[in-house]
Amino acid sequence: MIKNILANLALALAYVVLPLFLPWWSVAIVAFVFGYLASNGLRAFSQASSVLALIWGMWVQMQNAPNGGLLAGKIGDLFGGISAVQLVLITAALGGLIGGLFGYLGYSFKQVTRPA
Amino acid sequence: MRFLTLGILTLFSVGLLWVLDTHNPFGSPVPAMGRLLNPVTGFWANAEPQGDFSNQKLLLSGLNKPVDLVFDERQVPHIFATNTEDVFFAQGYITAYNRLWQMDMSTRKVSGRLAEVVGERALSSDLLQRRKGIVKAAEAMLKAWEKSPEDSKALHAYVAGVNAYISALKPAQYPLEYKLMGFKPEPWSALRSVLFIKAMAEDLCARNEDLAATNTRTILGEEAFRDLFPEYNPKQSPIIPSEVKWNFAPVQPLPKVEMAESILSGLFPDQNIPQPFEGIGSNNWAVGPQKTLNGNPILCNDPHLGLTLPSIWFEIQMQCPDFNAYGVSLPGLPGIAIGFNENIAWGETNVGQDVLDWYAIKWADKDKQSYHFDGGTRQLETREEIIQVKGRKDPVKIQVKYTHWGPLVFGDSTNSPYYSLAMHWLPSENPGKRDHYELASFIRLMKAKNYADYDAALTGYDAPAQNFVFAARDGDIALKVNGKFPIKRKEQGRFIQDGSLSNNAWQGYIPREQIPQVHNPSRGFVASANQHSTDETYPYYYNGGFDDYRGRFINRSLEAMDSITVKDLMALQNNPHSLQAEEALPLLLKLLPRDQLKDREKAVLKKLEKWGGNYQYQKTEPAIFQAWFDSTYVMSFDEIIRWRDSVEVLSVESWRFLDLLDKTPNHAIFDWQKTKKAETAADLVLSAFQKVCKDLNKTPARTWGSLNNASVNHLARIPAFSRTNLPISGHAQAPNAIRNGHGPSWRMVVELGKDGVKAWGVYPGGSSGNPGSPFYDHMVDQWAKGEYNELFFMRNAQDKRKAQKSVWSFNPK
Repeated sequence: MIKNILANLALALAYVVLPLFLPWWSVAIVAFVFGYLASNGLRAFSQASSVLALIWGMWVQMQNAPNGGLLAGKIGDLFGGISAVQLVLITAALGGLIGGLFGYLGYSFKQVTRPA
Repeated sequence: MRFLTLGILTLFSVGLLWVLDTHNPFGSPVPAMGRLLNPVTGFWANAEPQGDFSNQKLLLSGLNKPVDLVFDERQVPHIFATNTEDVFFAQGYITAYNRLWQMDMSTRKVSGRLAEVVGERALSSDLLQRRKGIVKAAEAMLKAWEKSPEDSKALHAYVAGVNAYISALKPAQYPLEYKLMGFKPEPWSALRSVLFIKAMAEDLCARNEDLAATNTRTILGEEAFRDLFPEYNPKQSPIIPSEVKWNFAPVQPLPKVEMAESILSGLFPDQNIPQPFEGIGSNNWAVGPQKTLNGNPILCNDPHLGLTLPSIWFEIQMQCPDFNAYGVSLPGLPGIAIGFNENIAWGETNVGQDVLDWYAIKWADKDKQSYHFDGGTRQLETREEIIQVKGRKDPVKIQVKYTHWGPLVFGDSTNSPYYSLAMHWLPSENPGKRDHYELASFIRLMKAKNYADYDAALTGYDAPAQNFVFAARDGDIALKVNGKFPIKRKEQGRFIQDGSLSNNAWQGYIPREQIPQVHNPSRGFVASANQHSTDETYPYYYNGGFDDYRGRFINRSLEAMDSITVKDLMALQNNPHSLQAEEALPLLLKLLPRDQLKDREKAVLKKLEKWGGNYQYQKTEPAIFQAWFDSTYVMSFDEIIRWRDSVEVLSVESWRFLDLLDKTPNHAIFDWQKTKKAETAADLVLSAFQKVCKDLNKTPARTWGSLNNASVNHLARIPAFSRTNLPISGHAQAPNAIRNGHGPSWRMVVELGKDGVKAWGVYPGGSSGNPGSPFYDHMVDQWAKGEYNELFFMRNAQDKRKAQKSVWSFNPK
């Protein structure tokens, strides 16, 4: 249990720190490594996905809220009338998709390279 | 099997990542969504907190001494520096901070480098810009500026400031539009700043009607042409009042050369040479102490331009030991273009004089590479232009061909009849050696204390020529039609000229002391609104596009006003009254045969009779009148208008139209070609009115506002970043010259009191160029309502009156 919490914290930290120095898609590398180290496929997918979704969602909301949704509303308009809140959720979902995919990919990679 | 699943999964995941990181994937218009949405470098980073006024300390290399930037409640920067170079450095920095993408795009457009970032769709625009030889001209201008320490010091300090900002930029901080369009900022250069002046020149002094006039004369014949297109409106109320006498011996132009008929006969097919927007201009005036309530001179200026977001103007105060000036600057150029200091105020409107002429080249060889000139032959020169096109592997290379007159703008195909046309444009001429140039003119105005300083400041300013209005605390008012003006013989440059004769060249330039100017006229005010510079007694010929209504209306208004206050002049700037409508409506009403109207039509007429010419946005009368007027115009000049689809032709000026309606309603031009009957003006006025009423039966009358659609569009026309359908009253021919996306881009009123200067201003935008900032468009509604901000003119950095919100401290690294 504690080990799991620590793993999630390490995952969250890596999700935040790496893209500060590397391109935005470095979060995919983080998810991949996490998946590679995960004990099962479900965990690799769900944790890599949910943690990134949560982080991206919170992170962009922290920028969106003080702005009063001004810019997100305009960008949403560009994409056919999406609201600021919806755009926050879409960003979170995109994070979830990338995290989950690469988490599971990392896990699958281990399965292939290290046969049980 | 596991390998296969893994392979597919890998391919899908990496593929998805690639799509999310690629701008316009598979040729779609979609930006790189991962780049755009991620929290670190995505658009979220451009979402500025509301009410963010934080202090900052920055270490910048290139700075000499510490500089303070104080921001007021509207986020206007007030720069305090201890030397002149630092004040321009800080201006460059803070302008780039707010407007980098705008600076980049405006100079890319004029120099033909848009396709590099937006791809094929900008290629034709880029090709045309290259063929106009803009960059070559800018290079020559920069070379001249470099030799003037006054100009070059400010320029290089400004460039260094812009680059200090750009070089520290991280991808997360790129202006939003870079993220949406998928390209990166590049370092700024002195050439870029010069290109910005060329962009202004293209906007303001590139109108040319040589082709259209030549065609129209060919179509109509000499007599009808002279009749319909007189050059001077006798009702004109020129900028320089008639009391000014021309006490000088003018330079005599060479006599006329007979042109070879072959050059002027035959119609050139329409090639749609893009022309700057017509029919709109700017207002400025200054009223002297004897006309104002409290005896202080007051200066006003509202330049009308294409309205954009980010705004064309950037409001700023700049202080250093040399000057303390406040006003609006143009992003890309150091200095303040329209503004004031403790002692004087200045502003500009555009001069409509024609400084772009076309010359028909006579070829000396069948390949059209050499041409006849004064009995000899000359060779074309070429310059290779390389255009990078986004999405293409190899750049597009073209050879731009130059005659000594200027470039063959349509030099792509030797078969085109346009191939033989060389363009001579004043801003493309080598400026030659002088003690100062345009930039220094503005810097000298920022320093100026009195009329003599103003006078000396303007001698280095060539183009685009402007009506520089001036007022000083000591009570002086003045106006100079200032710029470099070619000396032309009568009608020279009105039509395409024979390019094989040196006699057809401009015959030098009007000496500066002979340009139209007025200082403290007896009427107590000076004013300009793009109308004719002078009356017909001015000894030099000039032609071009001039206003016929605003200038007269403003002169009439100022003449009648007395004990003037700041509020009165604000009201005049916002006045939606069109003199065109005021004069046209009674003429139409007089000609309209009332006995032939049905009851419904009479009801419409009743409404119009009560309308005096105010274009109020809530009203339907202006829209009905406009439709009636326009439709009468189109039927009247059907003989000319029908050519519009195939060749470029002139449009009869509206003042001449009114003149014809008034004095010669039986003129043959009113005969509508479609019918056998020989119509008169009355017939056309009636059928136009019936048509308007018929349309009103089908669809209810629209308000003027919904028709005029006053808008401030984003520079890249992104609707979400634009403001449209603004509730604002006005018309192109009214002082408040609102027409769609054009109108007053900055309204300024300055009162030069004995106890200090007071000023008010507003523009439809805000300091920030970032659509994610509350200061992006916060003044738009205020501007639409005709409200002003009192401008916070600080005496020093410690001037902590109500408005100061934050301070940025720049220190040398």
